[in-house]
Amino acid sequence: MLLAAAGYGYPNAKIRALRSRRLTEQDRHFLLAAKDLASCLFYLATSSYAPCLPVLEKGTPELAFLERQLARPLMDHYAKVVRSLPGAKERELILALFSRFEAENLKLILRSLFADLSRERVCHLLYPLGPLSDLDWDLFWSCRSIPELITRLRANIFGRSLQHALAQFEAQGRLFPLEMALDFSCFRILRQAAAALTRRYDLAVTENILTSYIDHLNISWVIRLKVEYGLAAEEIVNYTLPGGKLISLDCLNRLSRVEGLADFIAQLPVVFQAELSALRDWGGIRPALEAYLLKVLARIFAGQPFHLGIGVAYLLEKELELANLITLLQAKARNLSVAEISSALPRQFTEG
Amino acid sequence: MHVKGCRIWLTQLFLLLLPTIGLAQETVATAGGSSEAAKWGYMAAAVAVGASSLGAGIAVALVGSAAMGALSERPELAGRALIFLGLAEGIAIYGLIVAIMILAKI
Repeated sequence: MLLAAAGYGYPNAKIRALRSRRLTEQDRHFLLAAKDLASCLFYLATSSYAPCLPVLEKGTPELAFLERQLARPLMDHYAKVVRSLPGAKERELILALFSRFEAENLKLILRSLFADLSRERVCHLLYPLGPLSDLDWDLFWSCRSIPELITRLRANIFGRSLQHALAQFEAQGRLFPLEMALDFSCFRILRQAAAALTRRYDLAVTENILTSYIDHLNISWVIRLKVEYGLAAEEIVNYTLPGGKLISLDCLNRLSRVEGLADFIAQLPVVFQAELSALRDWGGIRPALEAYLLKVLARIFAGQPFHLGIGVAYLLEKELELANLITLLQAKARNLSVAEISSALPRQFTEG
Repeated sequence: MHVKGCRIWLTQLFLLLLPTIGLAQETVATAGGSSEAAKWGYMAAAVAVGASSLGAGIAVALVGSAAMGALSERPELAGRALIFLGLAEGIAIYGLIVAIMILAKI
């Protein structure tokens, strides 16, 4: 305990201080009640997101640009958490978590190459990764085709995954296999980094968070691939992540085959059934799952304080806050009512 | 890794306490003709001060590093952080008080 306190005293205090600057209950209340997007942004300028907002007096900025600007604090916090951690293996895990944003930017480059769009037209949609990313982005942007990009990436895990998916991409003529390959490679890095942790408590807590997160993603992806993309059951299972906590491969198989929402919920483990039983449409699943994940993450902060899980839980919490803030801004831009916006957000965001 | 760390801690503890015990024995020797109780009293006082100072050192190191972490993000917490640093520092003062009480009895 003394050694853990010596190692994690500094990061634990720093992360909790960062966490205390999240949007407060009052902030969320005012953001929800704001009459339009401009009022929302003016209120946001009084919160911890103020430094990353553009000058609002010049008019309301483009929403897509704003979304990436709002991600700036999250990227900064990744850098701060990485710098504060005591060991290389712990830092590796946070960097593995960060690699999901590198994958998102790579997806954007793939899409721009696929749709033949210039860098200038899409660069405002990139995550501002900062110094944490050591990939040569200028080199990737100079590529003229997707195979060339994959060749340039061959030295790292993204390139190897993309290389495997290249044949599928060429056969299907759509980017989906390449995008999923990038997602899979991120989680492979993440699991390898988690397995390399030496402290048993770090390993246990981190596994708990990551497996819960994988469950959350798998359920969301099954619904998306089934309802929005209309893929076959076998294909859906192929595009899910291994190593969930409560959602096994059998469960994923059953979920990909059922038709209605009630049957879908009935096939889920009891813990999820309790969370989702009141839902009447597919749209309510995402906020309900996020509410459950936020509950899991909040529990991490209630127990023993000196472990790596504090950093992982905080960064995922912050990421969910950002996603929900963007959902709220998009809804405000479309002039949706407070009730409609509330139904698209997890209850922690709307109730505090 | 942890075993190695514990060994380092114990060695440091031993090295820190060794001079205090030695000094106490020297004091007893120079006092001349002191009783056995006085000898143990001096040693107890030395251990009380040494161990409590060591404890305070560890506590200040932990609280101080945590305080620095929190203050780097929330400078307004400086006042509260100082209170906790003071509490950690207090451990050394408890040892000193106990040592004075022992010495007063000799």
